[in-house]
Amino acid sequence: MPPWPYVRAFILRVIIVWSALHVLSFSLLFTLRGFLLAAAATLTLVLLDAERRNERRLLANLGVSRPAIGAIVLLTVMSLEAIWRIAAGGLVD
Amino acid sequence: MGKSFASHHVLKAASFWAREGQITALMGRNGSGKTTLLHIAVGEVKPDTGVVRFRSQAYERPRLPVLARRGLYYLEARGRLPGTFPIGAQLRMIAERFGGQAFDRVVAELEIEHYLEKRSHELSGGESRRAALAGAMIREPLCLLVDEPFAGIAPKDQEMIGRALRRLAEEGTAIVTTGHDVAALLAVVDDVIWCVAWTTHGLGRPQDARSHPEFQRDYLGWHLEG
Repeated sequence: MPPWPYVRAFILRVIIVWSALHVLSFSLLFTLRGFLLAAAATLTLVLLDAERRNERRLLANLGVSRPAIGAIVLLTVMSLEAIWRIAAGGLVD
Repeated sequence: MGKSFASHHVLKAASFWAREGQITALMGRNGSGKTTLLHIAVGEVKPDTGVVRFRSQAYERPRLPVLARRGLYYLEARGRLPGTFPIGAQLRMIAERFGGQAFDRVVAELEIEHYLEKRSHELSGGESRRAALAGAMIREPLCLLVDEPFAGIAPKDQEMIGRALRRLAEEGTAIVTTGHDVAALLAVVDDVIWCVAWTTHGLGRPQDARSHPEFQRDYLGWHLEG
């Protein structure tokens, strides 16, 4: 598990990217395919830019593996999507 | 270890070792495989042949997070702490995770007191290198792999980094380092391994390496003079 400040940073980034994807795709609710694409895009944007390399190195030196970081990101995306579906789904209905 | 990229051989029968309380330098010309060896050791590069042994355990596919939990720390060439949080906050994370007691001493030793509230991208190359090394020293690892710690660093900072590495080794850490800053490196290391012709040769103490004729001719070059 990464240190809490990093967990919070990952969650914040996921919220920003996930929100941006919804806004940019003009999509209130994603289809399953759309959700999978959005999750993949979020993982890519949150984890793979150059600065994140230094983060991954530090976290690896702290014993945190990439799958652990990926799991936090995916769990956050899925939680956000679930909360949003409940809220927005209710609105749509 | 053996490793080739496409048809280009980098290593055929190379090895290195880290001994408790000693600093070992991997030296050799550019492209001789020093960094590749370190990358293999931490699992960033998959070797074609060979195995990594760490604390009596063999790893065919080593992974840095796994080795780090057992006491390894890796500092890559020109690597720095991420700019996500201030330097001080990240050093405290390392101290909290591993229970390091050396925070204040390391900060004073590497003279980074004034940078603790800054982020690494606000620092110069030498400053951010010292901050990154501070992370390793606060960790107090059993084994530290540090790639080119002296590259592009002012002589005074090289001296400071050299002293810090020396002190860490005296406390029992096995350190392996690389680089081309011959004077700075040979001043602090205990053992030299020469990477050449896809393999490695243990040359022994720095004075033995300096007087090794092939090492002088094929690597040190002009350093022979004087």
